[in-house]
Amino acid sequence: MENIDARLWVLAGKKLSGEATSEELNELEELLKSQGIEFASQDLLTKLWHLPLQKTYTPDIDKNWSSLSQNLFPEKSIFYIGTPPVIAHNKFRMTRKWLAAAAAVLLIATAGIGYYLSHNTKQSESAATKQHTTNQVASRNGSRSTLTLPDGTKVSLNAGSKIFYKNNFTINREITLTGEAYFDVMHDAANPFVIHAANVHIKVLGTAFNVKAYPADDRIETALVRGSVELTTSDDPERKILLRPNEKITILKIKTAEDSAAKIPFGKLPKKEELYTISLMQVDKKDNVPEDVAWMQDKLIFKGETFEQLAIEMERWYDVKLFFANDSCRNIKFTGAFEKQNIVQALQALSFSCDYKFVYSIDKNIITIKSNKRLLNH
Amino acid sequence: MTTDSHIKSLQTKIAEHSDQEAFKELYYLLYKDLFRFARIFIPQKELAEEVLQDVFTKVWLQSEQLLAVNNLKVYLYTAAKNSAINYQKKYPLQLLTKPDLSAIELSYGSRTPEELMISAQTIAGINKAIQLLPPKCKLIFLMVKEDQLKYKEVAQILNISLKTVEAQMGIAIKKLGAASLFNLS
Repeated sequence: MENIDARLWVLAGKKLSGEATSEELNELEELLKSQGIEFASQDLLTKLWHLPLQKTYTPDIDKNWSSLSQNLFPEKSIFYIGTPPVIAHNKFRMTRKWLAAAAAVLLIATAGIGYYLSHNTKQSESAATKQHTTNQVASRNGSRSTLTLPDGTKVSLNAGSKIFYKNNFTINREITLTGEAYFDVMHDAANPFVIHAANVHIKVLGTAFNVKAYPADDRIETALVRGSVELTTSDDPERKILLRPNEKITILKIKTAEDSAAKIPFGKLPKKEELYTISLMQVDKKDNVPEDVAWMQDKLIFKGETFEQLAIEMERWYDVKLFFANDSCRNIKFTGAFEKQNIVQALQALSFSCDYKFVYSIDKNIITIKSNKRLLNH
Repeated sequence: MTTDSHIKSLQTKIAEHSDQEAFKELYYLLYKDLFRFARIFIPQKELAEEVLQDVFTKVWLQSEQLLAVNNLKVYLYTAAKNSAINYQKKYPLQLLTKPDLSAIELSYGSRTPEELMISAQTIAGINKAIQLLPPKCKLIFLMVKEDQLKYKEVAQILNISLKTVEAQMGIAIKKLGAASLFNLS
């Protein structure tokens, strides 16, 4: 009797835990019947089995994970995490819509001026549209692209950047840039190459340089790799600024008095001379690439930038939107570089490098940055 | 079952690509269960936390060896058990001769009566029955029910026979059943 009873419960245990074979389930039924047991508690037992037991004490998993990952991934202090390249496949992502746009543009271009846009790079995600007589080539956020202009000039467009040029470009080499691009200008002494970027105008003969003029940024930067360029600004067209190789000029954009007052300490308007600074380009020691053109090697470099400034760059780089839930996070400063990191790895690295001053949440491509309350409580 | 195949895929990612994300996911997935389990062998919270950090550190540092691991869950539970036992040896002051389950609260919450439509008295009876299970029986019950380990896995981790697991589970269910039956009438 006792044996039968023990067997019955062993089988009941197996049934509940999903271990019982069909033979054992039958055996259990038979046993219950033969014992004449109205197994009233069977239902209840099943319910109880599936109900979780009360939560016992659990340590702070986040904290323990942080200290573990800090020990295990020490190189995770932003510089070059050895992780599988993720940007690589994001980078050349082409949506149907963009493919269609690019194809349409190619048709127009072929009809228009014959040779138009050299698609020598398959990955080129550029699209040009004929708007009246203006051509537009753009790269979306999260992608970078390279194109060759009709005169043979090579342009690399950084994420979220656009250039415009007229149909008579071969005669009149003028383009307008919003965003950031690297130019390797085809030499043509008789025909100067002019770039308009907001209120800055750059005139070149044959040279290679980088222009950064994103509307969201408070400054325009021009970094010269070789040759020479001449700059003028709309505010002061008479004043010509010559740039020598490896020099970089940063011009602050002044929109309104309030705007400038907010950006310049003590609220005083700077004199015209103070609107720009010329400095030498910083070269990344690791691979001897000037930081200003590191983006061409798929690197996002930042030095002593506030999180607010960096967020703008990251939005373009990763094609995401960053929001700050707390103002305190905006002013955290970061120095480092992203290379192959995806957005999650980048955020983790940033969080780690500032001792987890912030936490983040990701919903599709929207990222919310919050100050780390847990840290504040300590 | 899906959890098992998920763990398997994380294991592959960690072993083959040293995937930090996968490692993190594994950590978060199993931490709570492993912690509760480790505390049976080393009740001091802080030491149990250290044990787990050690276990996961080893997993990461020897990640390529994971390829040879058949069942990662069993591997981690076994490592946690062994590591906890070694910790006890290292800290003789806290030496415990037997697994101590008194540190582990194993009961149904107060919300349970409404969910099951049974009296609070019955729940109290069941909880008492669980608490009164012999240590080994309680441990096995916990591993099967809460950690969703298979009988075979429990046997491997605790280094006991499958028959023992079956028998102990039988005892646990009998006590639970008796408690609920008794209070129902």
